[in-house]
Amino acid sequence: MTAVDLARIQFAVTTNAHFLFVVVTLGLAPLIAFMQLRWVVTGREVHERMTRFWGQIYVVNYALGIVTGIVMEFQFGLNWTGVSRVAGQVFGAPLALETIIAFFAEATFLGLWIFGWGRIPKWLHFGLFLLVTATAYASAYWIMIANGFMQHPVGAALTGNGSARITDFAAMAANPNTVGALAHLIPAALMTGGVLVTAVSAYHLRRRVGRTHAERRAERPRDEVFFVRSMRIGMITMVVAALATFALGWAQLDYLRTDQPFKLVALGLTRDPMTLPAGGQAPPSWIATPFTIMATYGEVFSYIALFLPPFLIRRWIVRRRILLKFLVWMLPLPFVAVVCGWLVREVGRQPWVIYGVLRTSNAAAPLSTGAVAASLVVFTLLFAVLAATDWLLMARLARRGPYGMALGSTLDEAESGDAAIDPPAPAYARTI
Amino acid sequence: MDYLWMTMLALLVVGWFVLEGFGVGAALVAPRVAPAAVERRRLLTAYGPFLLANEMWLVAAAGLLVGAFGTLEARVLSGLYAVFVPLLAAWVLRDASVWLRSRRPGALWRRMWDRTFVASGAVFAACTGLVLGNVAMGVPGSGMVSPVRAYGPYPLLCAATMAVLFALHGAVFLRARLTGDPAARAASAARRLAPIAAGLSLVAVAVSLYVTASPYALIALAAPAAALLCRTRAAERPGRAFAWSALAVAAPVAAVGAGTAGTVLAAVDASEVARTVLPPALAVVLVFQALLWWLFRRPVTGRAAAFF
Repeated sequence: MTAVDLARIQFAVTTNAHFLFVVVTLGLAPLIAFMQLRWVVTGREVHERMTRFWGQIYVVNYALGIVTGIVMEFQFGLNWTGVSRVAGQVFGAPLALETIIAFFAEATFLGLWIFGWGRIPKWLHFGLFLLVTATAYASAYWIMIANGFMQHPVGAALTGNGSARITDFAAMAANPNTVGALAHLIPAALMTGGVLVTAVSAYHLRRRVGRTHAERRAERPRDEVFFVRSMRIGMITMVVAALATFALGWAQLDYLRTDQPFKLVALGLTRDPMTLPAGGQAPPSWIATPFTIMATYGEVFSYIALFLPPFLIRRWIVRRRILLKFLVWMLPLPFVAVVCGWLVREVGRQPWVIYGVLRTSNAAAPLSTGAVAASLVVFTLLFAVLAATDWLLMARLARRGPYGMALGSTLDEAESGDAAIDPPAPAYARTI
Repeated sequence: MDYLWMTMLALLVVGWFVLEGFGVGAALVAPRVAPAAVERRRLLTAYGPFLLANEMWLVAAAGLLVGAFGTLEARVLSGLYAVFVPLLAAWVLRDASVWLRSRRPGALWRRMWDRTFVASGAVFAACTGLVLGNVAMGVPGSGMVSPVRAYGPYPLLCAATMAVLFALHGAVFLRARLTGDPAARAASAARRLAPIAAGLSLVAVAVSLYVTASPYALIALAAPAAALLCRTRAAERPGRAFAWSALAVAAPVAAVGAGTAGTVLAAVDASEVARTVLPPALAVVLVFQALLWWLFRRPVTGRAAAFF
């Protein structure tokens, strides 16, 4: 393997590690903002507990999103120096805007939200989370401008010696490869967030099926209300977003037909015989497999989702044991689809870094194979261990339910809770 | 206009050293200041609100480099590959150790992350010094600087100096943000660290004058002076002491920055979009950062929000 291959694998590992956490961040943030809005408006305890419970899952997820994001950002300068050499300020502009307007701002607001709990006025505290949500979405948009430019460079004059210029930023910002992909990505993230909330709620509700009314009342009577309410928010988001993701995914074929026809050839989506330009290379045909997985999931899940909302009426869902089990086990699927989507889009861009302008092989930094291999091993191991740890911790928090929550508790509570979790958790929550 | 970009970059980089400096330093002195588990929780609560906000200064600096300084970021990062890879790995582990530690009870789990916090902080601090030393010897051209040079005697001296300066800064910060025994221990740690920091940075300035032959190295003389001034004030005037330790941490990076200003200025290549959007955006973010500092300016009490 060459240094370029290793650098590509490292990019794929880092980006996907980042992406798996970012979809949850983007998907959960608006739902939590909605929960906090209801808490601020009504002042009811159930909304406060919902904000804290889903909020702490969000925050623990954010930990990995941020560390992978940091490595992601530095990777352009470490391994892919050719991009700034050729596209200079053109590619750099959206990245700079992303780090300062979005990442910097988002992290500051989130820090204020976590540690300002109970210390700043309620409305301001809610406003901070709105800002967290807004900057997270702004971040996605700036990154997709940079990515859209890689897919289909418009709005810039490229000279190849690093003095490239942005000629039309509006064209860059309105690139169909940016807007179209974002229109697919945002509902996909919301669907993932909705699936997560639905699955965790279903897990708790399923635990209660088969018990008598008295038993259920004795053990955490408020849980049913809590998780039915949560599921309502999660499931409605999931259903609407799944349909939007499905439709807007196929809508991307319109611009791909003109901008990246060979991607469609590799995916087997076009019958037109096409000849590659001299010396040209098509993307590898194996991307048809992840495409099929993603498209099948999208289609089947959208149809299934249509049948789910009626079960929310009059809490019908709380006794549907098999349905609840299905809702729990569907949790990993959107994550698989997200990785498949990344593979289709980014491997399908090959052999170009900037489509038609800069080849991947010419964009890599002049590094030795050993150096790139060492950093690949370091970051892959680090992310694998940390991602697995983080997911286990999120699973643990999810299983424990809305008790002994870390988010929004004071130092005194945390110190007394370090030894004991209040109130005693049910048996099933102690196993993890 | 080019000077505006350079000022913004200098603000972000020096700001990062001053702010992240006390975070990394807090990790270095944590075993001495807060050896017990309960105290460690207090230490993390004292530092916690600043974690996210502080580390973003370097992220923003890197973003600014990409957006407004052409290939400079690529030259520095890929040139110092052998230093930046461990730096990033340490950064990732430092963050993980803060975020994940208190997510589970269990002494073993917490001890493991407590140790990771200290070890990753040490590597992080040392790598920061290595970057500084290497850049002081000249901004890398294209291609990777050999590890032998990147880890040469002069960069290693810079690494040791920065680590001690960070530790001092961290101890002074903890003195200001904690109360009771841990605060007293932080003050005594600061008192002990100050002369070492002063001595090491004095040696580093002398060696810098010899190695880089740049008169700007003299700027770093502010570091030993500030370290000694901070020693006398650590116990009774923590606010003043913090200002002095901040100066001690800022002085070396200011010296290196002044020495490389020509290269940095020549690299400026910003687009119209970046020009119109970035300066006001940075100003807005700084307002919220100021709100954060104001909110968490007092020592931690039992009523503080604890998450880490």
